[in-house]
Amino acid sequence: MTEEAIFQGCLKNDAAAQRELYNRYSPKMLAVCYRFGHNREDAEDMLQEGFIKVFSQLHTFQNKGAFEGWIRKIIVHTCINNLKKNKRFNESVDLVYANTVQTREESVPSIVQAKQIVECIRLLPIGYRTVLNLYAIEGYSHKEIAHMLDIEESTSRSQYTRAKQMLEDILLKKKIIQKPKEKPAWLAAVR
Amino acid sequence: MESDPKTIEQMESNFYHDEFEELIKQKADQYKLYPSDKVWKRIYSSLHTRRRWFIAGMALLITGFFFLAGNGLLVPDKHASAIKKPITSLPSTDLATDAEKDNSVKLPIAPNFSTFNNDNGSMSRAGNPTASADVPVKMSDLASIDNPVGSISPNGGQETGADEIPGRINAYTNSTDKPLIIDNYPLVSRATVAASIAQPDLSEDAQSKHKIAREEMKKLNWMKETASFAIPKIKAKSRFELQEYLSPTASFRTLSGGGNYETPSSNVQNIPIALTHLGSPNDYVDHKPAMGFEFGAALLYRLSRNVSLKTGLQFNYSRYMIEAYSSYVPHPATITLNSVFGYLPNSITGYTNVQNFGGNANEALQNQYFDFSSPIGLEVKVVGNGRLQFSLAGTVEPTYLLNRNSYLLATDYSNYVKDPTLFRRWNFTGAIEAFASYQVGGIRLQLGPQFRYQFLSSFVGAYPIRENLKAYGLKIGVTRSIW
Repeated sequence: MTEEAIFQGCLKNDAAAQRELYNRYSPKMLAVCYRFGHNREDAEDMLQEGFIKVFSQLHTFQNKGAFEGWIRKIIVHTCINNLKKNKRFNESVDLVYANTVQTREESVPSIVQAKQIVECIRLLPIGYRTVLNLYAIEGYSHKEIAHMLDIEESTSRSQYTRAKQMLEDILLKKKIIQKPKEKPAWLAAVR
Repeated sequence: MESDPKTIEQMESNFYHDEFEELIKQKADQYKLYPSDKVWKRIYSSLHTRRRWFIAGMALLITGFFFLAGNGLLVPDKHASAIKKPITSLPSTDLATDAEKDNSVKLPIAPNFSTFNNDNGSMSRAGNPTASADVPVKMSDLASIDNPVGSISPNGGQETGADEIPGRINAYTNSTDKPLIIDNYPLVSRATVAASIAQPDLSEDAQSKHKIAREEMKKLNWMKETASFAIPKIKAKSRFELQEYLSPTASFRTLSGGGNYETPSSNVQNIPIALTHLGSPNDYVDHKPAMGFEFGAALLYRLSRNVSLKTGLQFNYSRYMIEAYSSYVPHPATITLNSVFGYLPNSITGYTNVQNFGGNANEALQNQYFDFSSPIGLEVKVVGNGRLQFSLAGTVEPTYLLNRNSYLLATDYSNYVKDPTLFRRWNFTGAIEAFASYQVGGIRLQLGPQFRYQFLSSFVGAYPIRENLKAYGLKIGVTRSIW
C-alpha cells in the first residue's frame, strides 16, 4: 500500500488504512514519546493521543513536506502538552541549574548503541531532557522551544548547554563514546 | 599564515560537539519501540464510534424490550388484584387471638372508645385515636357478604350513610347497648364484649362472658376472612391486543434488470458506455449481507378464536456491504436512465473515486436504509392450547424511506456513485413469519423466524437496475390484552 493510498484511505476513515498508517509510523513515534515521557506507559498514552490527533486532523495536511515529519510534529506537540500538565515538569524546565545526575555503570543496558543513548538521554532531568530532545533531535530552534515551553530563549540555550554536557559526561562514564584525546591529523597538518 | 592556537582549539571543540550532536540525533532516530496492542485498540475505538453507537442503540432497544416484557410479567392481573384488595383493607388480625395474647391495653376494643352516630348511621371515634387499630374500614366492605350490615345497624335498617369507620374493631361495636345480630347469630352487647375483654379475669361470670365474647369475635373474623376471598367478577376477555416486538435481521438485496448478454442494461441502447459490460449486474457485483434490525408495535383485533387482524408501526434498518475499490483520481460515472415512453433519453454523470473493478485500495461500501412501515395483515393460530401455541402471520407493509446511505452502480458496472434523486421514497414490502408463543401471566411471549421482502425496487423506475431488499430475522415479541 503506497503512502498516498494510506492517506486517502485514512481520509475516508477506513480502518484498514488507519491501521496501516499506524503500523508504519507507530514504532518511531513511540520512541519519540519514550524520550519525552516518564516511562513506557506514559509514552504509550502520548502515542495514543497523538495518533488520534493525527487521524482527526489528517484533512489539514497539505503536501508541503514529508508526511512523517507532519505526524512527528503532532506527536512532539502532544508530548509537550502532556508534560506541561505536570507541575514538576514546569518547575524543572525553568531551572538553570539542575542537580547532578547520579548514574551507575550498570544502570544503562548495553544492548545496542541507539538504545543506550536513548536510555542515557532519559537519565537527564526532565527539563534538560526536553530541551535536548527538542533542539538536538527534533530540530526546533531555541526560539521555538522557548515558545513551546513558555520559557525564555536564554533559558532554553542554557538548559541545552548543560543538558548536552551532562549527557556527554554520562556517555563518557558509560564508555559509550570516547572523547578524542589526539588532535585530528588534518589539524596537525594545518599547524 | 599561522593559525591561532585558541582558534584551532575552538574549532576542534566545535567539531567534536557537532559530531556529538549528530551522533545523538542519528542514534535517537534509529531507535524504535513497538507499542502494545491495546494502544491501537484504544485508538480504533476512539475513531470508530459509529459501531459503538450501533451497539449501544441495540443494547438500549433490547433493554427496553425486556423492560416492557418484564413489566408485563411483574404487573399482576386484575383477578389477582381483586383478591388482594380486601385483604389489604381488612388486615387479617385475629382479634380473639390478639385478645388471648394480650388482654390489657393493646386490645383494640375499649368500652368508651367509639360511639355510633344514630343520626347518620356512621361510627365516630371519641377517645384516644392512637390507641386504636390503624386501618379505616368501610361498611360497604362488609356489606358484600350476606348483608350483615343491615344487622349491624342499630336501627335494624340498612347502613346508608357515611360509612367510614376509623378502626377495624369499631366496625363491630356501637355505642348503644343493643345486641348485635349477624347472620341470625345473637351477639352480646358491645358493653358486654368490651367489659369482658378489658377485665377478663375478675370473676367466673366475667370469664364466661369473656369466652362468649371471644366466640363472637371468631365469628366476626370468619366473616372477615370470607369477605377477603370473595370471588370477583370475571371480566370478558378483550378482543384487542398490543404486540411489541424486536427483530435482529440479516439484510441483503436481490439485483436484477440491467439487460442481458445481448442487450445493454438501459433501454437506451445507443449509448456506448452501457456496452462495456453486458449481462446481469449480479455477475459483476461483490456484495454480502449485514446485520440490521427492526422493531415496532402492532394492534391485534381477534376476529375469531384463531384469527387476528393486525396493524401497527414499525421501524426498519437494513444494510448490506459491497466490496469495491477506491482510486486516487475521481472518474466520471454515467448512469443511463430508461427513456420515458420510448423517447427523451437521459443520463446522469457524476464523479466518483469508488470503482467496481480494481483500484488503488480495497474499500467496503456500507449501504444503509432507514424506513418506517405500517404492517397490515393476519395472524393465524395453527396449533396449540391456551398456554403454548404455534402461529403463522403475514403482512403487507406500505414503507416510507426516511434516509439512506447507498451507492448506485453506474450503467457500465464500472463505478459506484451516490445519487439521492434515484431512490424511491414510498415502497411496498411483505413479510411472513412463523412463531411459537407461550402465555406467562398476563402476557404472551413469542419467538420465531421471519422473512421480509421489498416488492418494488429501491430505485425509481428510470434507473435500469432493480434492487429488492430482503431480510431474514428472528422476531421476539410480547403480546398482551388491552381494553
